[in-house]
Amino acid sequence: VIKKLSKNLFAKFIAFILLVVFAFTTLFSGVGCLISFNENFFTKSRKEVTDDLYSDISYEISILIYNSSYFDYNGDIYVSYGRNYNVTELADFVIYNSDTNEVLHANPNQIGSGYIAKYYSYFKAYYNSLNDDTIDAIKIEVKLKPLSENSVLKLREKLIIFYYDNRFSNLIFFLITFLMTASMFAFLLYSAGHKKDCDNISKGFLEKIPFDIFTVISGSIIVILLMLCIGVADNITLTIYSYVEPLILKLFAIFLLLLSAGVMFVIWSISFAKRIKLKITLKSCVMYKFLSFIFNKFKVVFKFCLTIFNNLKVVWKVSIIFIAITLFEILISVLADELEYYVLLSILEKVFAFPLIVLFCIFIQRIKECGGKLANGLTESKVNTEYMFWDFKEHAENLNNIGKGISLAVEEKLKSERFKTELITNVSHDIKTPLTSVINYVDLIKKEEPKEEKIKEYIAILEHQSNRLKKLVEDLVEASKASSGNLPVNLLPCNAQIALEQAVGEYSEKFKANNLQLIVKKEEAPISILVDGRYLWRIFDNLLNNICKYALPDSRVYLSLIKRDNIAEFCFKNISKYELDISAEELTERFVRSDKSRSTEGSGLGLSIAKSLTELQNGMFEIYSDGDLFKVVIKFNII
Amino acid sequence: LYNILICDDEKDIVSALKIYLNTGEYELFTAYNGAEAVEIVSNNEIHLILMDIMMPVMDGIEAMKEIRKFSNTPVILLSAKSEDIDKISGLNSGADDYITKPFKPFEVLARVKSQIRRYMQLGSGKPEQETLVVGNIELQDKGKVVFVDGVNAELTPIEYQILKLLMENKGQVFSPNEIYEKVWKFSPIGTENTVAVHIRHIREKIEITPAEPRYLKVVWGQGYKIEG
Repeated sequence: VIKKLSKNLFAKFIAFILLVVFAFTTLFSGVGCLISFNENFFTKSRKEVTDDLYSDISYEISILIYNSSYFDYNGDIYVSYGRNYNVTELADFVIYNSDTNEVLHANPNQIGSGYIAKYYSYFKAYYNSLNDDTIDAIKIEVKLKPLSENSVLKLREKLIIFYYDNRFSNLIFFLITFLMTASMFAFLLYSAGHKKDCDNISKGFLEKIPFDIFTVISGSIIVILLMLCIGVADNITLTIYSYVEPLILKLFAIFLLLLSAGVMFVIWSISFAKRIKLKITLKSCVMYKFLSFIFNKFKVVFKFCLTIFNNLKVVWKVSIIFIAITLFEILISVLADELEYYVLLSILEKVFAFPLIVLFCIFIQRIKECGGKLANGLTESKVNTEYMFWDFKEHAENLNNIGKGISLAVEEKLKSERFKTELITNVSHDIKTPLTSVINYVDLIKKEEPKEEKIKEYIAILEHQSNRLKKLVEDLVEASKASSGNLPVNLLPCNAQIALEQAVGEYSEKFKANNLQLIVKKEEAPISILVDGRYLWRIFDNLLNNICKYALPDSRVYLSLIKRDNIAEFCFKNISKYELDISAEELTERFVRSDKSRSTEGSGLGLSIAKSLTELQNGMFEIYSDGDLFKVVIKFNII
Repeated sequence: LYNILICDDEKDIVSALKIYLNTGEYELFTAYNGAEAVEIVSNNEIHLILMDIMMPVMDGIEAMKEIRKFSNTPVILLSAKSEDIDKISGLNSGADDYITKPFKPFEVLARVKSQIRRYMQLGSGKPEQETLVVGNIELQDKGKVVFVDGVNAELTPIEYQILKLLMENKGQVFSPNEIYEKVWKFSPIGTENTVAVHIRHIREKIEITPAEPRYLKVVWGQGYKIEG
């Protein structure tokens, strides 16, 4: 219902009228209540209340009489008859000495009769100090006539009596009217902005005025009206001099002033309510707009400065910060004229600067640690960029990206190596099966013992080449495995002399067959190295095999085992049959051989395999060639 | 007449092997995958199986495991897989020998012969006194002769002494110097590689493939030992 009413303009108008009515009745009954409490209406009888009223009136009259009386040199009192006779309520008055009750002055001619009350007021009397016969105080007895109709005092009496008679009901009336006023006000606030056929809060004309300006204007209007009202009210005295006609005029003026102030207040309140509902209270302020404008401008400038600062080089940043600190310190020393303040401010500055410096150090430490880890191959390590800023953050992110890149590359490399080894192994399996048939059938043809010499020759070639192919395939697999580290290595202590001796023993027949003279030199004291025996043999096998194949016939071959510091050195030296037209490094590359030896047996993988296997066992493999002298040195750590 | 089963998915290899083994001593059966091999072994008395590993339907290892459930016929695996790990896993799954492809025909023949002799003589052979036996090697101390697969290996006296020392202490590793001291009875000074050369010669006489010895093994950097 309230919602419907809130959209009805007529209801709002009624509510407004009711608000005014209730407000004034509240004011009226409120004044009554105030008087009731002030004059203790709840404990006094009706007679006492009227007596109090008459006493007040007679007091006012006695003041008048006292003010218009004077003392002569004899101490005689005189009253200048003037205004006091105009007081229509005055019936008679007598002035006594308050100590002796002696009559000092009596009205010479009766001015009234049938008084309704007789009241005394005491005054301290001031008269000629030359007179010894002083009177300390005088007493003025005032006798009142019945209050005439249409007089202000009669109105006052009626009002007081009305308030007294209705003192309890007035209290309740006040409460009710106050509540009604409040609820009407609340309804107006609630319905503010609601319009017929519209769900949203509508903006009125007043809401276009900035709120603070509106508030200032309406506030000042209200203040002016209230001040006028107070001014008028100050003029009102419900005393013996007042006349009824101007009083009513004044009351009417007060009513109008109060009414317009109230209306102004209600309008302001409604507008305020609307603004709150629209959430534009603050935004519609001129001050707010002004401040936010200033702030925005400031923000842009600040941002601009920050951008410039961020794009500066580290040197400039540090310089600017340093200069800023220095300026601050100079400022301190200028401002702080006393030494104590200077010290205090300096300490304050240090307290702020210290955590910052520590923070910088932490950042550097973090970056340094990560860099160290990256250098040691821990590519997974990352810098924690939390709280970092400026160049620190940039640098840390770069490091993180490097780490990511390296680990990606390593992973790729490992994957491709594994893939390559797998591919070579699988292909070699596929080659071996047909190769088996080839070798077997060549052998079978040989067994048939063909008569023709040419066929025999061809078969010999076939046999030789198929065997070469077999060796090639086997070496290929081994080379790829050795170089990719895909071999299980079982390192055990091994006597270097015995190993060399055994290898030489295996090959002595072959050397003899190739007319090569073998000279072996080795240390007497046993040398122990950590190797995998099988792989060590493969290295020797390959090297000795190479020597048998490529050494110049009828030349000497030198093998030696030397202990140098903590290293055992196997040295193989021979004179090459062919000119060495490639560098030592290239010799260990897979498939590389001296061009002229291409046609001979061997896969060209021998040295490559030997090198990979040596490295697999933590050894070093070096090749030297000097003219036709070919030398291989293998080094292992002695244990 | 011994029955031999040849099993390989490569028909050319099977027929080549058939030609080699067709010496009149053996009756030959052929199969082209593991399942066929299992069936033939279960239906016939087979004395030796030559089998490939990588085959369709059922591979060699699986077939061998099936066969091992009801027969202890010797199995020689023929495979293009030449890695140590392949050999070890093949032998561990119950094979008696492992030949890598491409193989030499005479090597296969020698191994076939060796396995059959061993299988047929198993339990029946009564070694004479003072006879040392390791695998197919028989050392008769009385006549100072060594027989490999029943054939005299014709070792020289020094070679015989070395082999005897190693066979008497089967599995023990002797360094070249120890062997020299025990055989030559001199201290080994300036002996160079005498022992190693002799060992090489012995291997050539008693092993089918000296480069991959089955019995006389080299422990690199340590010495030599007999295993079997």
